[in-house]
Amino acid sequence: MSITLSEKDNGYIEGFAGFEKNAPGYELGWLKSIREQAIAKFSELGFPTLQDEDWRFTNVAPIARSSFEILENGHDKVSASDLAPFQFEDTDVTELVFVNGRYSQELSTHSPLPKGVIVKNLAEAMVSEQEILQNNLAKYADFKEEAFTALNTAFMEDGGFVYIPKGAIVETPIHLLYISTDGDTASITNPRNLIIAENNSQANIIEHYASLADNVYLSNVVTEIVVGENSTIGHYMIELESKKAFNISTLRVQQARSSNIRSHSVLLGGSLVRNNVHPVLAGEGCDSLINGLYMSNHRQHMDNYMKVEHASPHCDSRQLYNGILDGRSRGVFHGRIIVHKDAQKTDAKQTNRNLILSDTAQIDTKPQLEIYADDVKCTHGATIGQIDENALFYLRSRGISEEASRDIIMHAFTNETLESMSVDSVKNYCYNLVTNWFEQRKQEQKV
Amino acid sequence: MSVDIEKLAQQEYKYGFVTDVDQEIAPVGLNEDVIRMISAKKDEPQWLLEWRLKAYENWLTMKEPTWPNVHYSPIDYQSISYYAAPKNMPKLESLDDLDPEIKAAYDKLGIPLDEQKMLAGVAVDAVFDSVSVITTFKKTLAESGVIFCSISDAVREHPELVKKYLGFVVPANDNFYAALNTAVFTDGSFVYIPKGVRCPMELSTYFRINAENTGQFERTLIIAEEGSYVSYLEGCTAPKRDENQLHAAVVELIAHKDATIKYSTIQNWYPGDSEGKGGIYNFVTKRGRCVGNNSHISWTQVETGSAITWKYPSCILEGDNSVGEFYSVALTNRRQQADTGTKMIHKGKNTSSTIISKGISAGFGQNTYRGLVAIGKDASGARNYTQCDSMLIGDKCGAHTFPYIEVKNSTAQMEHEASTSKIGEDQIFYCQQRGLSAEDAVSLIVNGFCKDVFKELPFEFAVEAEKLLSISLEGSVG
Amino acid sequence: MAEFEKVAKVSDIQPGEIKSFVLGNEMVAICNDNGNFYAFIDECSHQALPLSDGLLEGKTITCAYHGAEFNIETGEALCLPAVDGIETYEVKVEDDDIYILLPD
Repeated sequence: MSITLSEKDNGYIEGFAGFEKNAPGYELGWLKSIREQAIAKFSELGFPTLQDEDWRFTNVAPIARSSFEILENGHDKVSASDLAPFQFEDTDVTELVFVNGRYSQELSTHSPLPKGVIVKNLAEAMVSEQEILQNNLAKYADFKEEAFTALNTAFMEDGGFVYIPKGAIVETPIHLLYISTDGDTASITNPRNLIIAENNSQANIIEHYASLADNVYLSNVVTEIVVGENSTIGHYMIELESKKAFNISTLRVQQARSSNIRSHSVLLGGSLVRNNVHPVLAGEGCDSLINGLYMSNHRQHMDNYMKVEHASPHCDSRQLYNGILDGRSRGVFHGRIIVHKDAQKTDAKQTNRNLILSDTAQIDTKPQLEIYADDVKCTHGATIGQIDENALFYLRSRGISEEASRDIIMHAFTNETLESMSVDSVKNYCYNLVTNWFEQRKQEQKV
Repeated sequence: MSVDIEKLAQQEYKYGFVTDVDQEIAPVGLNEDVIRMISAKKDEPQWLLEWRLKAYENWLTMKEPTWPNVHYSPIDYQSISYYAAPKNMPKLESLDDLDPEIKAAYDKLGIPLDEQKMLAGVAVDAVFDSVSVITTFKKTLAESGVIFCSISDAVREHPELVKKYLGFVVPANDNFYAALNTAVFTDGSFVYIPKGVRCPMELSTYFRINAENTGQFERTLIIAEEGSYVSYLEGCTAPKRDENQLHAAVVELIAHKDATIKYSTIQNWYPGDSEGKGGIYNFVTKRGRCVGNNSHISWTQVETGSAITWKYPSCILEGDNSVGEFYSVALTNRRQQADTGTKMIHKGKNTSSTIISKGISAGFGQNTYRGLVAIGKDASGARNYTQCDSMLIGDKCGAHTFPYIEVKNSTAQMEHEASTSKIGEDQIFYCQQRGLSAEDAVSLIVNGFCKDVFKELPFEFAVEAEKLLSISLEGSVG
Repeated sequence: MAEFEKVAKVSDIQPGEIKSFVLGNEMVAICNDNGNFYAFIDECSHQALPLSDGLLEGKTITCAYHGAEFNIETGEALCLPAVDGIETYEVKVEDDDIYILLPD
């Protein structure tokens, strides 16, 4: 039975009542309590408006004023061949596939993993890994102040659960693939991912959101990553939602001493996309690389909100976000660096570069520094412009056509972000996505 | 490296004294009657009274903004007196006729109402609380056609100009404090530079806030006709007080074709004591419109005082090829808070703006730079260069930058850089090795940090600015 | 290719009224000026706040937040603080339905 959520007539509260009793983990007291606190908070906060500073450039009224349905299963609509365009070229694959937010055992693939490594769907983990969940789930992503996180926490039912024990090194990339299918009504999913890396471990996890159709739906994602001491986690978020979809995703990372996170976001699809990335460098000597590439066209709206919190001394963070905007699209980059009082010897750097290809595209960027410690090195920079005339001339003067020169420059721009991806199969996949984006743009211009 | 901080931190605010002069002070509270009284006292025409009343009506419907990064106890607008004027207020022909107490007060402040300054060629419009005491040098300026007088005098003698331009840059309903100012402004400067004239001397104004609970609401209007040039200096000081005093001024600049207006400010209002008590609230709306092609407006400010500073001197670049500049040094020490910056709005073609902001935080100070660079859809060829640097002294202060960049035109070229640093122990050691005290070392380094801004100030101001910074930083090293 | 989308009903907006509706990832404001319908993005060009909260008088909409004014037919900005105009959309009325064309 599907449940409808809408702001009218307390729809979200009513819908929650119907949802809760059948949700996975309902019998777990601690989880029930978290869900109930979350819906209470969501009710109190309501969807953000343009008068909320953090949402000043992104109007979510189209989401707030629409109703969405929590669907029943849609597994039968997806076959293994449908997944092929979204898979990486690795031979060994650990891939969890979710259709419309729910795990599909038949479509997923498990390969041998090092001893003690657990990769399963969250609904199952609620049964078999209760202790780990209780100690970590919803402990980091803020459902008390953030409306979309509260919404996800109230309605979470499934997602990826990854546990890497002490010292384990996982070579195979772990792929969490979320596929949306066509439907008659606008649906909502609340994917919830929890990744825990104990001390001295290493792994690469890819979150991937794609669609088989062009319909309207809302993916409201929350991912929590807990990185233990001396561990290194590579994280990828690839967003290829339908061209009418809304994708709001929140990544909350908690870093322990000397840990290392390298997170790469690639945003290409969707109609209204908000990418929240919030690492907290809680232990001394951490390293954080937050990398991103967003490419928008037509009437797409892509909002990147970074909040890098230096809570401990001697940590290094780098935010490198590049954007290409075409058509009437709108990009937003809000990059906050917060350095707490005791976070001395912080070294934080943030760069946002934007290439505007049309007269009607718009970009709003707000690189922000909030510094409460004095022995720190913090810089940020933002540039906005067209393709550099000098660079263009240089290439053309060597006999390269104007079109090819522009291509070379634009590819170089996007490659800056892709180069730092360490998993080759994912990097190649992203290269192809970017190449297709440019190809499609050329086709449309010819019409 | 240890310094006797305690002794230095006790340094008294140099200008903290009160002048005991007979004053006519309005009873506290804000209502239509108070506004009518102010307008009547100034003998204002009906249209101006109506303008004030409409602004007041608007103000009643507005909400006090709470978004800045500053914290203060709520202001009770009904417990402030909106008018204070010294009793002997006839118009004076020469300085000898000035109330001796007032003259002594100004001498203490070092305000140049005497011959020496006259030789230096600076015209001064000294404002004692709410009413102009004297306007010197009117005659000299009048010879070149420059009008420099109090705004009250301008309403009487040049009503067509005032009516045309008052509210042209900052309309009455622009924001909460502008509306309040429009309703109760009591004085300020009026400057008019006719076509093609380069104002022969730098114009300057000093302000004071004296009586308890009197907020000061100045309104300044500067108009530069085609091809003209003017450099205007504003420097303020205030006595030591326990109650917070509100200063909600409005400054409007209009630059026509090929005209240039340089507006410099040294702000040294009482900053509050070391516990954060008292001190001025400096909530100001300053804005310039580069109306004509090739016009140029430049804001330079050194903000060292006030308990709370909240201002964004801005430029609207409407004319093609117009230029806007903002150079700022803002210092927060002890418990001061500042949320300041600029807005550069690019509307015309090939406009350019430069923003250089230097923030220095010490003690428990919180210093925020907030800026907006907006490139409109038709602003092709727009250029902006922004550099915001923060320096932190000590580990209990904060420095924040919130720059907003909004671009709607693909040919815009924007560059933004920001950095944060501290004064290194090794830098201080280097200076001390060469015989400088730690405080002098800090002074030297800070002045070097602010060099790009100080060089934009007119000479006398630049000297005063450096001294001011040193005094304000006393007690911050350690 | 962009197509006309059904957004509202004529009976939803009375003469002299302005209301907002969801259209894709945006809010669209539709005004009724004496039976003629005009549509534009529901976003003031100054700080992107909703124009549908403002005052509609004839063919002028005044933003409720900072007083910017726009011509609802051409989208032209009529006074500060607005510097840019707003994007207007083609409207088609068929029976009781209002259709809007959002350029791609």
